[in-house]
Amino acid sequence: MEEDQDKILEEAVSIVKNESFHMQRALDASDMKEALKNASSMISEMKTSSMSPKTYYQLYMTVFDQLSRLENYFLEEYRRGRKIADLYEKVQHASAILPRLYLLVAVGSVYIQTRELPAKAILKDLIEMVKGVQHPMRGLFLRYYLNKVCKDKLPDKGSEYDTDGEGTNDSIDFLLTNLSEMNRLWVRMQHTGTVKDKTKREKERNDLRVTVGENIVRLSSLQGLNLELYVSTVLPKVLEIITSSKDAISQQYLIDCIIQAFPDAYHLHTLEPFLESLPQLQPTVDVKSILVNLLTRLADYAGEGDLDVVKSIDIFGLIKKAVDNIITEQAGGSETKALLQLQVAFIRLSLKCYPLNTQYVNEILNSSVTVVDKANSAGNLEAESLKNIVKLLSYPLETMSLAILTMNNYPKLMGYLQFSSRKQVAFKIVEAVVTSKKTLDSVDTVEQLLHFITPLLIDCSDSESSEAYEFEDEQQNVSKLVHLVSANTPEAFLSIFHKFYLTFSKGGSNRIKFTYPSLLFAYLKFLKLLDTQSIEMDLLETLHIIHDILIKMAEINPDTAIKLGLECVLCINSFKTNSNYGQAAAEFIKQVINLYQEELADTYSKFATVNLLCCAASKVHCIDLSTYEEILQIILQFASRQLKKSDQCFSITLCTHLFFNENVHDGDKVSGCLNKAAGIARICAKNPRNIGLFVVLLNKFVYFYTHARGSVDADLINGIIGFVNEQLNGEFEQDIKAQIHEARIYMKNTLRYIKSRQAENQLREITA
Amino acid sequence: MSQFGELVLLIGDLHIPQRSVDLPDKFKELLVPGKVQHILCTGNVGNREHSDWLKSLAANVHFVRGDFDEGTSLPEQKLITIGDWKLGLIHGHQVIPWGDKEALSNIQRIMDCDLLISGHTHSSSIETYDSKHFINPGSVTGAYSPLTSESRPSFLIIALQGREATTFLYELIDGNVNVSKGSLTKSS
Repeated sequence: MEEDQDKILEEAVSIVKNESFHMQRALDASDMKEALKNASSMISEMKTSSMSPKTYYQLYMTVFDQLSRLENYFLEEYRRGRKIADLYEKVQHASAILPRLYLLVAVGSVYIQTRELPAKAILKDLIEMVKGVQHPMRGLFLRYYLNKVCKDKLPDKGSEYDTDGEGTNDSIDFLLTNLSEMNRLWVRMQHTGTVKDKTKREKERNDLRVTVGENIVRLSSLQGLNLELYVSTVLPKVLEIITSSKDAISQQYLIDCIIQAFPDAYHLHTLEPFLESLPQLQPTVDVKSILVNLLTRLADYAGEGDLDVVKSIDIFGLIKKAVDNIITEQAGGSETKALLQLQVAFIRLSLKCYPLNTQYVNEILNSSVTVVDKANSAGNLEAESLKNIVKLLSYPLETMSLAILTMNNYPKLMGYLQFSSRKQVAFKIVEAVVTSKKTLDSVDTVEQLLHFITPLLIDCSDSESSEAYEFEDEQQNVSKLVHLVSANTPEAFLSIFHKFYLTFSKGGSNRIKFTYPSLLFAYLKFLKLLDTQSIEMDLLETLHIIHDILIKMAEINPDTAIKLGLECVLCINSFKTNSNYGQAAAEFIKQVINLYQEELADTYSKFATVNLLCCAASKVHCIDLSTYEEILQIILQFASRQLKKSDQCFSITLCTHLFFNENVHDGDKVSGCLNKAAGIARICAKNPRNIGLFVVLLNKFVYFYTHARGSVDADLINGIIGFVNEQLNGEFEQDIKAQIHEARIYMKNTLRYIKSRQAENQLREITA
Repeated sequence: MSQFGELVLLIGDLHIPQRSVDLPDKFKELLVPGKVQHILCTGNVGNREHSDWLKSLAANVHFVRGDFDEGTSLPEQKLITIGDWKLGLIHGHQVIPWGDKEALSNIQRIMDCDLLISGHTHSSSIETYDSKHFINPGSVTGAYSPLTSESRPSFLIIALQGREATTFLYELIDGNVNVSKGSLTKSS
C-alpha cells in the first residue's frame, strides 16, 4: 500500500510538472486561454480518490506552488489593464468543478487585492462557491487553500481592506463559516465506508485535522479580535459548532485548539461558558486531559501576575464544580491516575491564584481523598497514582509550609502512601518549614508538625532503612526545627522544648545522636536568653532534663557528651541573674570527669579532653571553693597520668592556668606545676626529639614571669634558654630533623619575642 | 581580580545544625563561587552539607579541627603561604586562655606565621601584637556561645598584595550587612 501511494504520487506529480511547464510557456506567450487549460489539467490531478491524506498533501503542495505563480501572473495582468471581473468570470468556464473552484479562489484573492470590490463581497462569494465540493478530503484541501491565499487579505482591523470599520466582524463571519463547513466535511468522513475500515478512517481523519484547526488559528490571529468580541461572538459560535457535531474526534481536537490558540487571559474570563460546554461533549471525549491542559496553562499564566480577574470571577468555584462532577462519575474506576493528575493541575492553579488560601487546598485534598479511598478499596491504587499524591502534598509546601498543619485532609492523604513516600513528604515539610524560617510559637503547632513528620522521627511498622548520607541529611534537618522555637513566655518555650524532647527520645540512638545535641543547645540558648533579660526562674527542672540528655548522649558517644557537658557548665557559669546554680554546674563537671575516667580509652581523646578541661575549668567561678579545688586537683591528676611522658609534660603546663586566671591567683601552685612539668621535660629531653617541650615550658615561664610575679625565677628562665640553645646546636638524625626544625623556629621566635618585650622595658633580667 | 591581589575568605563556627539553622540570607547572597581564591575555615562547620558548600566556593579551601568537628581527620593547625604572607590557621579551643592575645601570640611563635587566624570565641576581632597580626572572623551564623553575650554573624575577606593586606570585616547588624575596612602590613 505504501509503495502504491508513492507510485501514484509520482505519476500525479509528473503530470503536474508537465502541465505546469506548458502553462508557463503559455503565460510567457501571453496565451491566457491555453494557460488556463493547462492549469485545469494540472489541478485535475487532485480529483483523485486513491490517495491517502498524507500523499494528497504532497500533491497539493506541488500544485499550490504553481498556483502561486499563476496568481502573480493574474496580478500583473490586472496591472497591464486586463479587467479582473472578466477574469473572474472566465475561469468559471473550466469544465470540471475542482479546477474551476481552485482557479476561482486564485483569481478571487487577486480581486481582493485590486480593491475594486470590498473584500467582504468577494469572500462571501468564494465561501458560497466552494460548497460545490462535498467530497470530504478534496473539500477540506480546497477550503484550506482558500484560507491560505486569503490569509493576508481578510478585512481585519488595521488592514487596507477594512473599508467600513466592520472588517473584523466580516473576517470572523468568514472564518466561522469555513470552520463550520470544514468540520461538517471532516465529521462526515467518520461515517463513510465500511465498519472494517474504521481504524484507518480515524487515522486519516487525524492526518487532516490541521486543515480544520487552521480556522481557529486564523481567528486567534485577527488583529481586531478583543476580549469582548471573543466573549460575545467567537467563543459561543465555536463552542456551538463543536458541541453540535456530536463527534468525539472533532470535539477533542477543536476544544484543544481553542485552549492553545487563544490567550490565557481570555480563558480565565470565559471559564464559565467553557466549563459548561464540557458535559455536553461526547462521552468518549477525554475531558480530564482537556482540563489538565487548560488548568496547567492557567497556572503558568497566573504565575506571571495580572490576577485582578481572579477577584471578579470565582475561578475556584467554577473549576471545583466541573472537577467534582468528573470525580463523582469516575472515582473507583480505572482512571485514578488521570483523576489525580487533574487534581494536581487544579491544586497548582489554586496555589497560583490564591497562594494563601488553605481552605481551597484542603478542599482539593478532600476530593482527592475520595478518589484515593475508592481506588484503594477497589484495589487499584498504583505507583503513578501514588506519585501524584506526593505532588499534591508537596506543591502547597512551597507557599504555605506551616499552614498545611491546619488541613485535616493532609495527613489522611499521606496515610495512603508507602513508607518511603511518606518520609519523602515529611522531609519536604521539614525543608519548607526550615527554609521559610517560620517561628514555632505554640505547643499545638509543634505537636501537629511532629505528628505530620512522624516517618522521620520514629521507626514505623512499615519503615525501611535509609542510606547513611540520606538519613544524616534527614535528621540534621529535623534537628534544625528546635532553633525555630520562639514563644512569648518562658513556660511556653519550655513546653515546646519538652514536646521535642519527648518525641526525640523515642527516635532511638541513631536519631538521638543528631537531635539531642541541637535540643541541648536550644535549651542553653534559652537559658542565656532568660539571663540576658534578667528573668528569674526556677531552673532545676530544666537542668534535670539537660542532665538526662547528657546521660543518654554518654551512652551513644562519651566524647560528645563530655563536650556538651562542658558547654552546660560554661552556660551556667555565664549567668548573672540566676546565679545560684553552682551546684548544678559542679554536677555537670563531675559527670564529665566520670565519663573521662570510665569511658575514654583512646590516648588522643584523653589528651584533647584534658586540654578542654583546663580551658573550661579555668573560666569557672560559680562553683563553691572547696568543690572547685577538688575538681582542679582531679584535672591535674588526669594531666599527670597521660600515657606518654611528653603528653604529661604538656598537659601539666596547661594546668598552670587552673591556678592563675580571672578568678584565682595562686602563684605557688603555678610554680608547682611548672616545676613538675620541667622535671618531666628533663626526663623526656634525654631523647633529643623532645627538646621542643622545653621551648613550650620556656614560653610558659616567660608568661608567668610577667603575670604572676614571684612564681618564676629569672635564673630559671635563663637556664632554660641556655640549655635549649646548647641542645639545638649540632647535627641530628634524619628521623627527628622535622621536630628539631620546628623547635628551632619556635625558639628563634621566642627569643625575638623576648627581645621585643625588652625593647619596651620588660623582661630586663632575661638574657635572650 | 589581580588589581586587588589574592582574595582570602576567613570564615567559621557555623555550628549547623547543632546551634544554628543557616547563614543569614544576606551573607548567602554574597558568598557565591568565584569571588575569592582561597578560603580558610576555622572549624566547627557542623555538617557535611556545609563543608561541601564551602569547598564549592573556591579552588583552595583549608579546614582545621574545631572541638565539635567529629569523625573527621582534620589537622589541629595549618600553615598556608599566599604570596609573601604566611597564614596560620587554628580553631582556638585548644588555646588557653581562650581568645587571649598572648596565648595566641604563643601559637604564632610555634607556627611562625605573619598572620594567625583563629575562631572559637564567636567574636570577631583584628589585632596586632608583637608586630604580628591576629584575626578572628567570628561565627558566620552568629551561633550561640557561652563566651559572648551577643554573637553577631560575621566573616572576613582579606586582600593580600605584596606585603600589604586589606581587611574587610562583614557583620550583620540589625539585619543589614556592615563592612569595615582596615589594613595590615607584614612585619619584616
